[in-house]
Amino acid sequence: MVFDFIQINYKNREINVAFGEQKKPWYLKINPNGAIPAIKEVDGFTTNEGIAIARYAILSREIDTPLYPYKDNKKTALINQGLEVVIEEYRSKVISAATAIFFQPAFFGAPKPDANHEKFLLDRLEAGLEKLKAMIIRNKGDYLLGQELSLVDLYAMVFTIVVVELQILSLSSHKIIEKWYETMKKNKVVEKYRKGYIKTLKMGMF
Amino acid sequence: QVNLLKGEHKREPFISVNPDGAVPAIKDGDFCLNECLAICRYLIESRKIESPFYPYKDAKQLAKINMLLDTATDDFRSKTGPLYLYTITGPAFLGYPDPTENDRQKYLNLAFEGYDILDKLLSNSKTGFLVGDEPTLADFYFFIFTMMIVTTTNANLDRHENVRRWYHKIEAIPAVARVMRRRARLYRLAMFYVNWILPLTCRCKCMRARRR
Repeated sequence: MVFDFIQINYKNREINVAFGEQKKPWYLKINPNGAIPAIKEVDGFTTNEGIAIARYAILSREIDTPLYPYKDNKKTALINQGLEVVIEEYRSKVISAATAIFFQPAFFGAPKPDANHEKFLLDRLEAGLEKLKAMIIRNKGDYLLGQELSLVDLYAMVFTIVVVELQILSLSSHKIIEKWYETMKKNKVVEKYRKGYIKTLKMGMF
Repeated sequence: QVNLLKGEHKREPFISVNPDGAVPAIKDGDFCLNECLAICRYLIESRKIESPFYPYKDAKQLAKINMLLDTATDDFRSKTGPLYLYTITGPAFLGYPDPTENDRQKYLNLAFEGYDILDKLLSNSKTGFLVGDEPTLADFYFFIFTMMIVTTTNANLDRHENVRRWYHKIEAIPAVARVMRRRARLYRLAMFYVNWILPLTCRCKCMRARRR
């Protein structure tokens, strides 16, 4: 999403986690810890971790973008602050809920979690959504940090797409998040990513 | 200094700096900021401090540091945090019940899993630091969460040689040593307050009286 936003050239290679592609030697050369996503520069430099990649792409190309205006210290600091909140309070909750409720049973043959555990995971996820809601309310805008779409919105969107499209949780009881989600979908880059995610998912399930 | 126990972080004048009531937070002129990594990054970038500690102008070197910082929360904090929360701060300051022996062991094992991850990260390093030849923000960030449990629980580093060596290297840095001394003092004061003063002055049910 970030690469499309800032309009740099890149080649995409999707990794099939169900078939363990991330453990294959060619991928481990790019990313020794087998984590996704990862990138490989033309000059051979490799790195992983979504946000680190986004920051690297913007800084190395010296791209001026409202996504991460690295020349404006205060705006950048607020984005970093928002990113930390999303990382600490939201990301892990989405990943653990989605892994246990969807990915493990669907792709790795694990049993679905029992009702108690599922409730525990979903409650934690709801708490994470409350944190996002608090950001939107506090910053009085359409986006997480106010009136402008930033890296925080893109990052939170990645995980919210997982929640919504895998039907882990409905946003109908989270009107403010629902409204933010619809606003984000109006962005062409975001919508392209979301549709691509759904397609990949369908192919995976098939 | 903010007294979390007294709920100072939820009242003025602190709440105007940080509406979340979160610590840490800073106020730079009129600009308020919280979240510790955001604060560190902002101070370095706004004061234009060029240092291998956080080379904000070198995109590649920075990416290596950021890569570790981004994973630190899931891979490390989430494994070492529970031991600290449920066996130290929870019972002492937040009115949590004392954990059972089983739970203690469970959190200890989780912390050791965290050490395993850190040990593996360090085993790839030639200089004993996480990134490059000198200590970086990544080392400091991992150090904080290690230090918290090494100094207060039995999650020792006996079985993790790389982590142990790295820990001593970071500890020896003067800035770190200063902070650790101050923190140890504050921790002793806080425990004294909770164990001896509070039971005398507070009949609130959420605080359990404990004489040591």
